[in-house]
Amino acid sequence: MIRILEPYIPLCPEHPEQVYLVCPPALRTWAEQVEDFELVKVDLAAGEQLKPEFLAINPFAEIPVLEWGDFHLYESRAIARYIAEKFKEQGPENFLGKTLEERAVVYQWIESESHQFNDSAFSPWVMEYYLAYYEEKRPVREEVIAPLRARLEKFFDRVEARLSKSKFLAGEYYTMADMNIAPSLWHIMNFEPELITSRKHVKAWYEILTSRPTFKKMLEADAGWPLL
Amino acid sequence: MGIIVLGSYLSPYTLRVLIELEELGVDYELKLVNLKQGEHRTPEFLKMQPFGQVPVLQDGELTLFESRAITRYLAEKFDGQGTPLLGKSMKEKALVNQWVEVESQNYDRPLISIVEQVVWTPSWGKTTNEEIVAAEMAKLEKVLDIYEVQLTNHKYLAGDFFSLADLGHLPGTHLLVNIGKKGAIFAARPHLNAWWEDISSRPSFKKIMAKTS
Repeated sequence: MIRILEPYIPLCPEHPEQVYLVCPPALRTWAEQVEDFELVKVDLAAGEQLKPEFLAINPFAEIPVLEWGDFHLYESRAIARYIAEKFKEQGPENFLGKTLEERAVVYQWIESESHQFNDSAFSPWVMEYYLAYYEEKRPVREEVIAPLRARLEKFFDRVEARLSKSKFLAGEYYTMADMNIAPSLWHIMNFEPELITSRKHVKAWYEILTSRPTFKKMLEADAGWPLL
Repeated sequence: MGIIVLGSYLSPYTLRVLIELEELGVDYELKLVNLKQGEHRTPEFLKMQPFGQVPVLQDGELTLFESRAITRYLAEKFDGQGTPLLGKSMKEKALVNQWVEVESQNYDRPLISIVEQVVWTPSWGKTTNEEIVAAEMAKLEKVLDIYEVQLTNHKYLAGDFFSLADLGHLPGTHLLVNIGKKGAIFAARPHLNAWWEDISSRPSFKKIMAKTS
C-alpha cells in the first residue's frame, strides 16, 4: 500500500514555506493506477506537520511524504523520481528519458524549473495572489508582483525559444520536466493568463499539458482548491 | 574529444562538478568563463546556456547545464568507475535523491544568501547586510539541527556511504566555514562537525580547493 501525505489545506499563512504546489497531485493519479494507494491529508492549519509523529518521518516538517511500509521518502522531486523509476512500465513512454543523455536533459529542465521558475519567481508570485485574494482580501501589491512578473517573463521567453525547437521541454516526448510545471501553469492562467497566451509555443504546450487525462483527474481530485 | 566543463573557480556550482570528476577519476578540460567581465551573458554563451549561468558541460554532442543535472549525468555515465556516488538499491538511490533535494531546497538557499553577504558583497566593495545574515543564519541553524540528528544515526546523509548528496555540500560549506568564518555553527554540533571534517578531508576536495586559492 502506497500512501502519499498531502496538504489538507493548500495554504497555511503562518508557515508559507510549507505551501506546496508542484508535482505529486499529477503524479499520484498515475500511482493510483498501479498500486493500492491512499492519499492522506495533513492538516497544515492545525499544525499537524509539526507534531512528533510527523517530524519522525519528515524532520523538515514539509509535505508531501511518501510512505510504503516502513520506507519513508520526502522532497517532491525525489518522490516523483522514485515512483517514475519504480513504475516505469506503467508510466508514459520516455517519461524520464531513455538514453543516458536524454535522462540528463530531462533532469536539466527539472532543475531549471526548480531554480529559474519555481523558487525565484512562481512560488512567491502565487503566494502574493493567494494571500491577497483568499486570506487578506486585498488587492495584490504591485511592488511585490512586478519584479516577480519580470522574472516569469524572462523565464517564459527562454521556454518559448526552447519550444520553438522541440515539442516539449526535454525533446519530442512529454517528460517529468513538463509534468512538474503543469500545475503551476494552471495557476498562472488563472491570475495572469497573458504570460502564457502571448507566447505561441508556450500556449500550445500549455494546452497539451492540461488536456492530458491525468491532469484533468488531478483537477477533479483537487476540486477544493480555490480557483478564480 | 573528451569532457569539457565551462565554469569559474568563483562558482561553488562549478566546483561541485570538478570535485566529482576527481572522485570519478575522469579526465576533463576546464574552460574558464570570466564572470567578472560578464562572459556568461554574451550571445555565444547564452546559446549554450539560456539562463546565463555556469557550469556548462560538453560531452561529445551533449551540452548540459544545471550543476545537479551535470553531476547526476556524470555519476550515471561513470558508474562502476571511481567512487560510487548514487547508492545501490532503488531505496538507497531514492534517499540519495532526497538528500540532494534537501541540499538544493533547504541548505543551499540560506547558505548562499549568507555567503553572498559575508564573502561576495565585501569583495565587490559593498557593505554586508547584517540583518539578512542574522535571518538566514537562523534558518540555516534550524536545518543544521536536523542534519545533526541525521548524522548522529548515520555516517553520511543518505546512509552509511558517501554519495552525491554529501559531495554537493562541499564547495558551499567551504565558502561558509573557511572563507566566511561561520564555522562556529558547525563546531557546536559534534556529529555535523565530524561529517564536515570527514568529507572535507577527501583528496578530491583538497585538490580542487588548492586550485582556487
